Amino acid sequence: MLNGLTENERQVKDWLATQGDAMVELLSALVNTDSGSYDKQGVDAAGEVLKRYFAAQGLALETTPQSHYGDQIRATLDHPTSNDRRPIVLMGHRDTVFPKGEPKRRPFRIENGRGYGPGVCDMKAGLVMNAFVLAALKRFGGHPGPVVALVTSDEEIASPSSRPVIEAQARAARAVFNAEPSRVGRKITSGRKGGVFSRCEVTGKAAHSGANFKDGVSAIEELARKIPQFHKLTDLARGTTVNVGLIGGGQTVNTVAPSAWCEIDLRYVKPKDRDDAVAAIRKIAETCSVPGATSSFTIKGEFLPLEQTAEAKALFDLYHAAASDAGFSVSAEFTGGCADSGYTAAQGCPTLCSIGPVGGKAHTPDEFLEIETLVPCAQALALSVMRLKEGVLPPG
Amino acid sequence: MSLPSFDVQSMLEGLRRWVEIESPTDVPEAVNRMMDAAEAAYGEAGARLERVPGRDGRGDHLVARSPWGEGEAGILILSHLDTVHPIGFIERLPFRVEGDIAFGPGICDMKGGVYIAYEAFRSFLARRRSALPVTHLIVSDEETGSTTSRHLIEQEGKRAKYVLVTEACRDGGKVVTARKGVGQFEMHIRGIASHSGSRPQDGRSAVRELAHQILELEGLNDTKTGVSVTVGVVRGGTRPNVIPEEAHAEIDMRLPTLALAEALIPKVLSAKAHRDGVKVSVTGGLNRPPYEKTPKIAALFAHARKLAAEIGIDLQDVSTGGGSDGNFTAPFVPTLDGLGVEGQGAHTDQEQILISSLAPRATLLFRLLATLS
Repeated sequence: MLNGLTENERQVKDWLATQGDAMVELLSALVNTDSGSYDKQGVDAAGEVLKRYFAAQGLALETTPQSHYGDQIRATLDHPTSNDRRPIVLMGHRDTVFPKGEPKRRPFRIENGRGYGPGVCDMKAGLVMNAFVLAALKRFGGHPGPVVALVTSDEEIASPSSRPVIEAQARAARAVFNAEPSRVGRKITSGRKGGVFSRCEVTGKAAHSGANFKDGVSAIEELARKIPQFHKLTDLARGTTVNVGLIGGGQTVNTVAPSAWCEIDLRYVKPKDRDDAVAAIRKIAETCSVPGATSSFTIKGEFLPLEQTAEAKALFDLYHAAASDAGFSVSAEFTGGCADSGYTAAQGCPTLCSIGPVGGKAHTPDEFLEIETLVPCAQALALSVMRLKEGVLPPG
Repeated sequence: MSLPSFDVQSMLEGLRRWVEIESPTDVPEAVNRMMDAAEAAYGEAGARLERVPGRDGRGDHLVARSPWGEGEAGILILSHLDTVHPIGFIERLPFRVEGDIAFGPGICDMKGGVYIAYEAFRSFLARRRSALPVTHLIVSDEETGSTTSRHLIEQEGKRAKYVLVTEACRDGGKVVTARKGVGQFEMHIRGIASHSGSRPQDGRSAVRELAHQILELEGLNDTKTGVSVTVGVVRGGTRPNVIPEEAHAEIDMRLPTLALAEALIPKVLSAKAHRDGVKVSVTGGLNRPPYEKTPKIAALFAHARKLAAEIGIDLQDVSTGGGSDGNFTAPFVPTLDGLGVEGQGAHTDQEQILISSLAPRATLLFRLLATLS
């Protein structure tokens, strides 16, 4: 051992240190491949970029085809002799929130040490990191069991097609590292809120606002009565928040509104808070007080919370030490933002989230990546995987 | 009393041609095709014609004048030929006749009324003069508030002794002697955007503020005074997971009297936010003044009622919440509205008229033109 690293660890770390340019090259190709969540063709094209890299490294590939969204992709580095056959999963999504054509308007570029472009930190850089970690382990070994890079297709829209794949993978896994970006200041995630995204539609009755005002039933009035009730469910101390993020309704200024709708975003911390909050939202959504108004409620998507368990803490400690050996120091903080890591944690799989290269301003044109963090983050992740031997994590 | 004989079949045929020229307010070239047809009809009948070019995305207005009585105060017939139905709506609501009912977009509001006024005026143009000169003003934008025609309406109204508006009659044939004033407003709310997951406490929801504002506006509804408030359109927010920075509402207010308008409009315009960090701004105002039943309007109605009785109609009057171009003239010149055809379902896919109302209503208009002095 030299400076606390085994020879094997040093080989992996040193090789990754030579891969900075290759990482940027792969990242550039990925960012410039348009892959908005609803653009299956584009998301699959981004998948091909990664598949070519994995194949060139001699890694086994497996695709779970999807009809509507992009396919789910799995690259596997096997370990035929390990006792623990449960894979260590490096997870990431390749869809972005941006509209079609965004990479044409804002192709990948580097300025003052920051990389820019759609999805550059959220989370194409994380996918690049995962790919190079798998390549390094393929080259030098040292992983304590099978390692899987899972590349999903639809996280930005609450993972409608990848969720079952993620959950099945999590049930079979030893641990999951999710490559969402670390935040500026080297902060990773200690826990995340769960989220339920729903829609309420109100139906009233159209009438001319002048001549037949009394015949009308205003869906907008009913919606306006519901909105403050939704907001009242917010309990900041408990970590429960309700946001009516989008509304619309009506036909013309002089027609009593026959329809109106809103989209509701619920966040909660404790899994047990979920059902009560959803029931309360549903009750408000489905109960009308304007005579003649009716309404409906649908859940459109959902993320589960990432809880701070003892196993997650042990995984953080392992990563913290590995990061230190890669030359940087990390801290963890709780966030209300949701991610796929909630699904894996809910399956009982130890999960560490936001260990991707450092970035910020996700979902905006100002999204950036700190290029210099690609290599150290890959090193920290590789070392963490290598050290994830039996007994490192407390029994779940 | 000599009455022209209005031939129902030929009137219905003429009206059909007009209904089949779709003319939504926001498609000026379509409205102009409609104006072409009306202009051609009046040209043939011998009226003096003026065409006022459209502007601001609206079609032309048409003025047809009697060749007699130039420069004298006369009778202004006030009509519009734009409709609310979009192009292609005719596929869903083709002109068709079922017994005494004829269907079609704009047939009731108000192509039927314009057509019978044309027939009544034409019978003077053909062979006789009325005591007063007659001007038929047909505008292109009533359905969106007459923003490009208001000045013209007021100008012609000020020159007139009487104004007859050819909006459809109400509830089984009633004419209109009062209309509520119409206030229209736009409300913009600016809050503070924030991520609903990671920084919910930093945001100030514009949507939440809008909900409070809507509830306060709804609170101005008063069945006793007849004030009504409709928040007709709302939108707000960008994504479900963002605390909305902006929200917007379009508001329609109906005000029976000028006094109520003066009391309530400032309240709407000065709406205040309920939370720090949120700004509410309201623009708009009285779009159409209240049309109140003055003694002169009551006298004009009494005259019309007498004429109606002569042809066997027991004419009643009514006040309504719906505004019309009559609101612009009623404050200064006796105005009688609802002189168009009888029908229902205006603005819907069931818009229809009673065919049997065409001839009596044309006759009533004819008699008004013949007797007003």
